[in-house]
Amino acid sequence: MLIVNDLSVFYGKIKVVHNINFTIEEGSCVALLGPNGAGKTSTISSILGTVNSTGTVNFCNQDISKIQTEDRIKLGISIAPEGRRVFSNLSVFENLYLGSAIRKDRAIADNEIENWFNIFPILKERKDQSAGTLSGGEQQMLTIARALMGNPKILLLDEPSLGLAPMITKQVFELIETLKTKGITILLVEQNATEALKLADYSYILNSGNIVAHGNRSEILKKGDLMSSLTGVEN
Amino acid sequence: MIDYVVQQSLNALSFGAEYALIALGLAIVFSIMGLVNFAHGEVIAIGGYCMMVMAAIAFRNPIVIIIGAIFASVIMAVFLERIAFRPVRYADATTGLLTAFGVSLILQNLFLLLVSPRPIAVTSMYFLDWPIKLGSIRISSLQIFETVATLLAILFLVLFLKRSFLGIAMRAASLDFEMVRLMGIRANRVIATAFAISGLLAGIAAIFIIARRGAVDPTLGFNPVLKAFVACVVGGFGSLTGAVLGGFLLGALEVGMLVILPQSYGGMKDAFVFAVIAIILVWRPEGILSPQKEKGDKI
Amino acid sequence: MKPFFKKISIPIFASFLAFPVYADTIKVGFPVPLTGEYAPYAEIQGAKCMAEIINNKGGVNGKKFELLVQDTGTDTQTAISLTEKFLDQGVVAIGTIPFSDTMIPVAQIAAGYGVTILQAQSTQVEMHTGIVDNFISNVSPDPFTAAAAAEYALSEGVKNVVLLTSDDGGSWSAKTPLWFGEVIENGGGKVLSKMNFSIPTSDWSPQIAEMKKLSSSPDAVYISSIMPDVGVLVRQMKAAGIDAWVFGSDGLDDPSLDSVADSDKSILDKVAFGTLAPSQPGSAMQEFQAECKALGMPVDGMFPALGADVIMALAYAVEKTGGTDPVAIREALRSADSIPVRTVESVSFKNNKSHAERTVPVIGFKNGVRVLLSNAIPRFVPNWK
Ligand SMILES: Nc1ncnc2c1ncn2[C@@H]1O[C@H](COP(=O)(O)OP(=O)(O)OP(=O)(O)O)[C@@H](O)[C@H]1O
Ligand SMILES: [Mg+2]
Repeated sequence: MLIVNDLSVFYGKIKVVHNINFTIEEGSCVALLGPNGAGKTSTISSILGTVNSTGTVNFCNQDISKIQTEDRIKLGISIAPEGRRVFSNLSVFENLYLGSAIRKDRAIADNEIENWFNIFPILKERKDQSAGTLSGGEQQMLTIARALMGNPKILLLDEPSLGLAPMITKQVFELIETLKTKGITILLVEQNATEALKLADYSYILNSGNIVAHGNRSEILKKGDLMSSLTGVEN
Repeated sequence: MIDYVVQQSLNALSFGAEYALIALGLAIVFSIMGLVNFAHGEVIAIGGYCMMVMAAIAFRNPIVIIIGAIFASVIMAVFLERIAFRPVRYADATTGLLTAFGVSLILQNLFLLLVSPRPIAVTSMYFLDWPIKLGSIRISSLQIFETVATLLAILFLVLFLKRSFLGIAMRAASLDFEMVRLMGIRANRVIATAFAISGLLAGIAAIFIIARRGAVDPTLGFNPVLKAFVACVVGGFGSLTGAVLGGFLLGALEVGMLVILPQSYGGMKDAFVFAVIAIILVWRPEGILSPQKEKGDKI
Repeated sequence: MKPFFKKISIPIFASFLAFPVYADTIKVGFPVPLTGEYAPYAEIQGAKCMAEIINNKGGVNGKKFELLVQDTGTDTQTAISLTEKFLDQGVVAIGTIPFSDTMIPVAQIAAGYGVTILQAQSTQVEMHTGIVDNFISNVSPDPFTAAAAAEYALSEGVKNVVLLTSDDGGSWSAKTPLWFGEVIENGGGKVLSKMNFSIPTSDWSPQIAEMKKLSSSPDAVYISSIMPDVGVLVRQMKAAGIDAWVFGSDGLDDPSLDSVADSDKSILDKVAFGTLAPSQPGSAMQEFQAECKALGMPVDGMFPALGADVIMALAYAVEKTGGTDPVAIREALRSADSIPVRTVESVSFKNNKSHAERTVPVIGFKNGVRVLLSNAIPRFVPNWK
């Protein structure tokens, strides 16, 4: 579904991602792991078209590397970004409403908002409250819900557990699990490699802008020390 | 005496209404793009010149003239965004500011060379202006119209920003522009809408300015925009409520200083006005109602 | 002159040499504001037209006028650079931005070449304090227009006056009203109050509320400001029911004032201003404008028209001296009893050296049409030096 080919990312003249290749099959959950500054967010940004990059990104048999960010979203790519970036001056409801921007059928979108409120009763309670006043965990739920409002083909999740208490982290991973069973294609970027490896069908390990390993959970774990130093996962 | 105070307060209110109306036009663009659009004054002037042209080719119907002027300002605002501000959209704030200044000066000189450096009479809006007596208080219908129009504009803006999809997107864009794009909402559309609204406000302002002055000249809009800029700074740049508040505050300050200062200190009027503003800014460096800056994420 | 606050402006060099270069010509330099704040006061249109008229008749002593015109964009530094350039090209006189900020440094540079700043429309008193010797204005300074208006006001029985002053236009807007007041008091009248305003002002309601508060109502208000601001004042005073004259200075002398009467012919009946040259229908200035229009060189308004006087005065001096030596020309101008010009019959620089002695017209309106109310050299002019 998503094929990244020979992708490099640049900030000015500095190259931070070096000619990487990876593939995400439809319906699968792929994890992109690595230490701070490895280039995970940069990779995601290049899929979205918000940074300078070379190489190609192929989505649903279409080269999207030259088209506008907005158009990529419209093709069915959705993002729950690092740091959540909820619209803190907007209400919870308005955040979700904007999430449905690419939907033509407003009625269905409204239904969907109700649906999310059922899954997260807390969001329903806070419906008219400004998103900036939500707790970190609530904001993360809102971010994911907002990303799903557009009914995407693929969901990009950038560090959804960042800064959350273990209890809440657990809830977030449960949510991702649910999404997975619903058949949504997911690219998951995580620091919490232990959980991510469990969840993902296939993983790529990024270090200093290079893919240094890839495989399913057991293949990654077999790599031993190198992996544990990069991902913090104990064998 | 009490009548005099009421009279001057009403005057201050209508001064403030004009500043607020123009300040809103600056604020709506700034809140989304971080651009101080000094060319807003020339967008107002275009409305005025449009009325001049329509009068010259014998349009008599005031409704047609009003709609024409507003339309001209909206088109001008959107046009400027397209040709001048879009290319520098992602450049730093100084570049935007200088671009806006440049556009403003180029347009003023174009008006000067293509039309005239002198004021040209446009009397077709005089009909909006007649005296009204309330007891011993005299006001002009124009003061009422302008204040009411400003209040209606505020109401419309609030409804638009709260209720419509584009309005909500504009509020979101004022906080995190890229995230709005990441929702699949076209940046160009949001920004063009912001400029169109600022053009609409400029067109309305042009009508009242022409109704009062009865003439257009190249600096028709430039001077009021300088005042509106001050209003925005005092109120908190980027905050719409702040712009309105700053506008009314500046109106009250100006009329107040004019009335209170003895004639021999008259030349100091602006100095006093700015001294008060400086004090406000010491108290609140970002303006009275500066918009929230943080993204609100709890990490 | 009507300086307001200064503003950055982009000089657009929109004008070029007006005439082909002749071997032996009378060159006059015009580093003038064709764009920017002071563009309305450029004298170029009238100067060009008058030069054309004289050249068509064969010039002066066989010499034709050659005007060197370039835009300063209302910027002093640009004016200075252009002045240096024109001086090198051998001009006999220079006209520039009519504001002392510019005129003084330009005059100081020109002094080294013996060249005179011959300014068509400068009324600023600052230019007559002896700071430079090579400056001559074709018109009388502001105290004269104030005095002329005041003398007319007194003749209409005006006693109590309100003066509107502003520091934004220098002495022109700050002091001219006071000179008016002095002449009124000298004639037995009284200054009721002085009030402040800013340039520009588009709403006079605070000042009008103050006028209403005065214990006795004024017979006249005096203001030296620009159009369209004064037009707004006239309308707002009328709307507030204040039945007083509005007197003013040359700043009111703009066609847009006449348009205030578009919907109400009587509204200008008590509006009058002392100015630099008669501009009512049938005046010499209007004839000149008609003549220029026929030549395809339109001259819009009084300030541009005053350029004609400068060219005529130079023509007179060239003929008198038989050459184009700038110092001799200045001497000829200052020694003549009477020099024929276009916007009034004649001027003389004999008594005042740095400004013209000429009649000062007071223009008013009847039924919305300009009329010449008086046109004389004022008898009493306040001490202004
Ligand atoms: N806007 C930017 N300008 C310059 N360099 C940047 C920019 N954004 C990221 N970088 C650099 O690019 C490299 C990769 O950053 P990136 O954010 O992609 O890492 P990451 O893997 O997402 O890290 P983290 O786990 O901390 O989020 C880093 O060295 C970072 O300093
Ligand atoms: Mg990251």
